[in-house]
Amino acid sequence: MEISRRHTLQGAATAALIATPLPVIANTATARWMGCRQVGEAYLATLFDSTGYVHLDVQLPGRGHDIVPSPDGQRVVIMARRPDRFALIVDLRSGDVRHHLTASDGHHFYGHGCFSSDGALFYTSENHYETGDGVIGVRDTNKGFELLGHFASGGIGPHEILLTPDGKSLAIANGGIRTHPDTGRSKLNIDTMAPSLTLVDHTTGNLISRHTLDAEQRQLSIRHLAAGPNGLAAALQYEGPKRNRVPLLALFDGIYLTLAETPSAVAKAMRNYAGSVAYDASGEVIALTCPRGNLVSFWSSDDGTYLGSHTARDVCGIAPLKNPGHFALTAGAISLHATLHTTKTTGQFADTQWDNHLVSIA
Amino acid sequence: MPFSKAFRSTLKGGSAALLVTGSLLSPASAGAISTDQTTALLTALTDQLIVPGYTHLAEESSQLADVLDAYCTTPDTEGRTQVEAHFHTTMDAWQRVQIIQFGPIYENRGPARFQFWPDKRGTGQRQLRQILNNQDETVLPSGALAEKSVALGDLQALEYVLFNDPDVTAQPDSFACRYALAIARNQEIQATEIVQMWTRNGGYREQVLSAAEGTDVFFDEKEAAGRFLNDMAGAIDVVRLQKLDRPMGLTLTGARPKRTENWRSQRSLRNIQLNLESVQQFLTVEDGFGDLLTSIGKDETATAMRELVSEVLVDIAAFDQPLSEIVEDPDTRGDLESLLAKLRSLQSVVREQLAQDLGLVPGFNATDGD
Repeated sequence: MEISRRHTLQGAATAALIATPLPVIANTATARWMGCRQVGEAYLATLFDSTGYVHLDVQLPGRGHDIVPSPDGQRVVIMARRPDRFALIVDLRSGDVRHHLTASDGHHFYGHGCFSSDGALFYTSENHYETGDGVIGVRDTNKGFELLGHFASGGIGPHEILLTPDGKSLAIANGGIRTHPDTGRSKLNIDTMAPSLTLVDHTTGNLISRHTLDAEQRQLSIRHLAAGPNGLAAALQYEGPKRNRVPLLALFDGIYLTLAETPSAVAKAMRNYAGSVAYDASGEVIALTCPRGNLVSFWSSDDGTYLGSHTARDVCGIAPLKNPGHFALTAGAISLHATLHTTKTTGQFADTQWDNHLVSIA
Repeated sequence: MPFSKAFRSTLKGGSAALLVTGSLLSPASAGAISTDQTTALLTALTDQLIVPGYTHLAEESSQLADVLDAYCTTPDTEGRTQVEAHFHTTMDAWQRVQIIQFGPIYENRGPARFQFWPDKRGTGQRQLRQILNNQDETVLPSGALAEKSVALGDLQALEYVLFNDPDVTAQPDSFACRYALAIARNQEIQATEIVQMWTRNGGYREQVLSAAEGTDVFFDEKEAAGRFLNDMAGAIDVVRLQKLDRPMGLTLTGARPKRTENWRSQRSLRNIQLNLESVQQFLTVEDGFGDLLTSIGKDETATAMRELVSEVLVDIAAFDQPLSEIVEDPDTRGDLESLLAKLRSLQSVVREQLAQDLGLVPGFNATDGD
């Protein structure tokens, strides 16, 4: 009885929250972030600042995943968690939902997307689920995000995608795992999975290059990416026998994809599952979050040397702060700031479960 | 403590210190539980409950088959009493292990080959009636039922054949009796196979007991302990939703007595009692969840769970009608409502308090593949 009563109250509180949208206060004094969260039974995308103050809650039709700011900082795209099919485009000044996208027939989103550097195009990682082919949807942002077409991602299960720092190509993390909406999130090809990092020409869709780990590491699914000054960092998830403790960070220098050397105690603490990855403002430090291991770990972007870590329950969302070496994080119901040597809780959010990703909002 | 184990824990302590450079953000309540304590829990539950439970099921179904074999030749009253008694002890054995929701039981065709229930669309029963009406001899040869629909070789089928119309098995050498015998043998074979899959060299028992070192199926001992915790919570879920809520319906007029489990042999409440006794044993067995909680100073949780589960068992024992009658009886139906409320409380203690005390709460972001 206690439980249902509590749920009802939460539902009421959530409903009230949504009925009276909070004004978006232009507050340039503090940094702001946006992430998806579950509050009671509601799924929200939330804009908050470094004091933990909530500026905006956008109600979502289902569990969200990544949030992608436009290059001009005026709006964000909130992507559904796979295998859902919605994406919302929200104006950050008014808090209004401008467009509500649905994946085209036979496709679902994988939870991530990115803009072209001029903001004219928006790309989404998608599953063409009858064939299992990974595809990238291309949308015209000046025409209501109208779908222009799809091109091949160069692998199965494309997940995070981003524009390479030169703005010329898309980097795509092809996780390698085939799923079908009929069987939910069940993995259909663990025995044959072949993850890859592909670079694709963002105007033509032509494959530029495909990069893989060694054959014995083919059960390391390449899922999340971050871009730094000298390359990319990839966060991995391991699908092999659970007795193995494996590295979960790979560095890409434009030619080689290399696993970061990982002390065995660190590999064990990470529990074979990384959820998100980010570079700091200087580009020298990479932070990797491991929600199963309740761990955020720090690495040198130069050679992948392990630097240290902190524990934080259910930590996953991560974004750089302006100060070199500083990161913002979400973990369970809290937000925090962390460096290699310090951590500080910055916000406590009632009944909240923060989701996988966090982005800085200018 | 063997030298190698002591050495291992020393190494772990050392590496943990090296690993965490900063402060511990959220003091982990599970910090006090050692690998050895969790392994002791896994060993206790596996060796005192799971393996003996499946072994008992194999023995009971074997005896049931032997008794049926004799009864089919000479179907007398004494034999009938024996058959019914052994059907019940076999079903008792199954209900005790029904709460185990991982490991070999999920291989081949899963738990449904022991009990296909609830049969929401009645497909199993249609197939079964066809076999009986046509006296289809293809179900009789040894091993034949392993190849047919699970609904033809499970304990529900056996209950139907024995209890739907007792007369059909009461003729010497009747088809129905020989079919019942074939089902009992099928159950014996399946249960024996499960025991072997747990106990053989490199089998599932070893996977559980060596979980701390990492195995093919467990990352570590905590993941394995989490499975047992899920079993307790899951068992309460099944009792609430399938065994009580579904036959009760929303209101008295929505009650459906034939949705109670094993109404033909009038043992619905006994099944529930056995399921919850297994939950109780997970708590009370030496080195079980209760002892583990006490050892980390969480006596309150242990006491709350012990009291709730005993209360629920007392309530169940107090009913003096079959469940199929209670759901339709305006005078006693209310007692089921209060039983449901207590089960909900018990479930939230398991899922929330116990999981938190032992550091086994699954994270929101720990789900596969995002």
